[in-house]
Amino acid sequence: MGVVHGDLMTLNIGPQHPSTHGVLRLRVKTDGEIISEVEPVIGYLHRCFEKHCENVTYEQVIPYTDRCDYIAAMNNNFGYAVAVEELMDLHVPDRVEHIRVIVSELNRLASHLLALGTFGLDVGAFTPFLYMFRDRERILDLFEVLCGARLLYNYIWVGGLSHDFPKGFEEKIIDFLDYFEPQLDEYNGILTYNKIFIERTADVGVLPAEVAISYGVTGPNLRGSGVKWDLRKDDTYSIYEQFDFNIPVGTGTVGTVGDCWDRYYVRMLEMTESIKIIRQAVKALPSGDVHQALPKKIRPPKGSVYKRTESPRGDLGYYIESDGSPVPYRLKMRSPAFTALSVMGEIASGWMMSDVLAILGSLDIVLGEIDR
Amino acid sequence: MSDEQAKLIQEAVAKALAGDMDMINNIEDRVTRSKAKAALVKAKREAKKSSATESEKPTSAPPVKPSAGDEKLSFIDEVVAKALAGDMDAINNIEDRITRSKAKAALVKAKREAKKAAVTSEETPQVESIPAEKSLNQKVAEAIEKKFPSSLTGDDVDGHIQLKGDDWFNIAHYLKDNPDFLFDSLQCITGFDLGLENDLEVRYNLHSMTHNHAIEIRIQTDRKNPKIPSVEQVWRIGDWFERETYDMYGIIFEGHRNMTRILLPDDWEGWPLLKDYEAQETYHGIVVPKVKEGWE
Repeated sequence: MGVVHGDLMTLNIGPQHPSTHGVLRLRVKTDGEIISEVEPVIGYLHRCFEKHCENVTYEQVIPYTDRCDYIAAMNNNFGYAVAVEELMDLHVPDRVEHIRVIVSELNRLASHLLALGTFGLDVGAFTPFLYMFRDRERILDLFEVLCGARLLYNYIWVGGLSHDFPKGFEEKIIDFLDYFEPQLDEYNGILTYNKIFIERTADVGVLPAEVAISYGVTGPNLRGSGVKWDLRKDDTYSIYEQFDFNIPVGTGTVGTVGDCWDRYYVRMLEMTESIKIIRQAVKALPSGDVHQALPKKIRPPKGSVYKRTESPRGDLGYYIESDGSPVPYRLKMRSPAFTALSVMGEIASGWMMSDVLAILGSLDIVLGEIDR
Repeated sequence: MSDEQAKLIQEAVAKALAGDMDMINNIEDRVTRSKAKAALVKAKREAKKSSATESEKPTSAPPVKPSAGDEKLSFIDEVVAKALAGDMDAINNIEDRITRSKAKAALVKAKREAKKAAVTSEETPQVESIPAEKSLNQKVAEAIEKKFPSSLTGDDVDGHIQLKGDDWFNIAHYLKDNPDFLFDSLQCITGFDLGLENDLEVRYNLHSMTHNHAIEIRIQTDRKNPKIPSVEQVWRIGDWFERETYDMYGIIFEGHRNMTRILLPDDWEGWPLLKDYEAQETYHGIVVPKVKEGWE
């Protein structure tokens, strides 16, 4: 008795496809409805970010970082500013640190809302998507009040911020949090514990912890596999050590540790933690001048730095080499979504066609950051 | 400027530096007065600069209210000393929030300076009476030297470890599996162009999730024929990182199972992140825009 093998069919998902969250192509080899091989083809959004950086000054790089991860631009600004400040040995005032934490945690909320909403959409849940986008919109409105931009902020500068909080902004944030916190229960009711959603995501696309580490997967995807690792606690930067918050990890509540549902649920729990951090930071917000430490000219001394920060997608690293001029000699961005997508080929094979999109959605990728 | 005027300004500035502002303020001619004031500011700045370079004091007392500031500063010094000795409560219990944060900043600074001092003292070990603990870089470098003789290039292991490429695959395996290091996570691979006349370089940032420590390894390779052993099968993320480095610098990672371009199209010509890169004129009939001259 031999084993019968049918011919493999090659199928392209994307580059123009609603479930690929951007211009991504998945070259899929299928055996009937079973996927035997997935190969992500990327680069459709490549804009030579790193080459651009070698031609503009340190200040001018910041708007480019916005455009890499356009879902969480604050966090990208933040990571870059922290890296250059470490290179320059620059300290920023306490108020600036607090505001940075507040806005990047707000942006984390917005980013997770988009991730969870579109993930629901990928597996067929349309309504939660609308609910989450409604609330994400409120955060974007807050940012619009803050700096005039809804998505690409250019707000966190090296040594400071572009604007201070407008008058009464703290109350606006607290109002939003008071409104938003009960909404999380609603999401849990409408999506998290929805039977169809659990059927589609539990036990699907299991990512074991060792595989995740070997593939450099970080952030909520790694924590979904049960690894308690968060740069805000483990390699702390800015003033995160002053705040009290937990690191949620996947526990396999409805399936196996590291399945799509766990990755989803870790993000859900992280939103609660972000709210906690924002409340503490707003409460402790000191007064001061946010422009006080802005350097007139950014000319880091010769040397290099590799600095990682925790973006909503994981370890966002900047490798910067300075030759003492106002232009970076070399700037490399280590993108968390890039590493997350690379694991796709490993965990998606063997599943059904419909599961591939669920797995892709659970990884929460942003193509702007992958292709740079 | 007349000699007389210059002399007057000089005198006034000297007096003002000594604390007597009256002479400057009493200069009648407005132009001379403002010139004198400008000179005073300049003199003060220079004095500040020289004092900053001379003294290694973490903070200089603010000149306006010396008594209150001094008290605070000495208090901060005290708690920082306590915290360095392991007692963080001293800092955490400070009631005034501003003082607390200042103390924390001072602590971070003190720690950093201690680190720096430790690094410099390691370079001259005879001077230090207590043998400073070896830095991670030194430990790793020694272990590599022992296991893979003559693969280190250069003795300076401060900040990064410079290796020869030949044994890199085995060294990578060793670093990942050695229980003292356990570098299970490859954080980043950065291609690097050292300049038109020089070699290319690849920089690896390794990190251990178990020990929570990190090192940077650098390997140089010939510009004309860039080749480095692949570590794709040691850390799986090496696959895409190495493809990206190949894509941008043309460095071939020997042993990689799929050495193709990743971000750029397969039929693109040239290696964009090389410093002497010139973009092709057209790509499939599409004009490739050039970077403008002097664009900054």
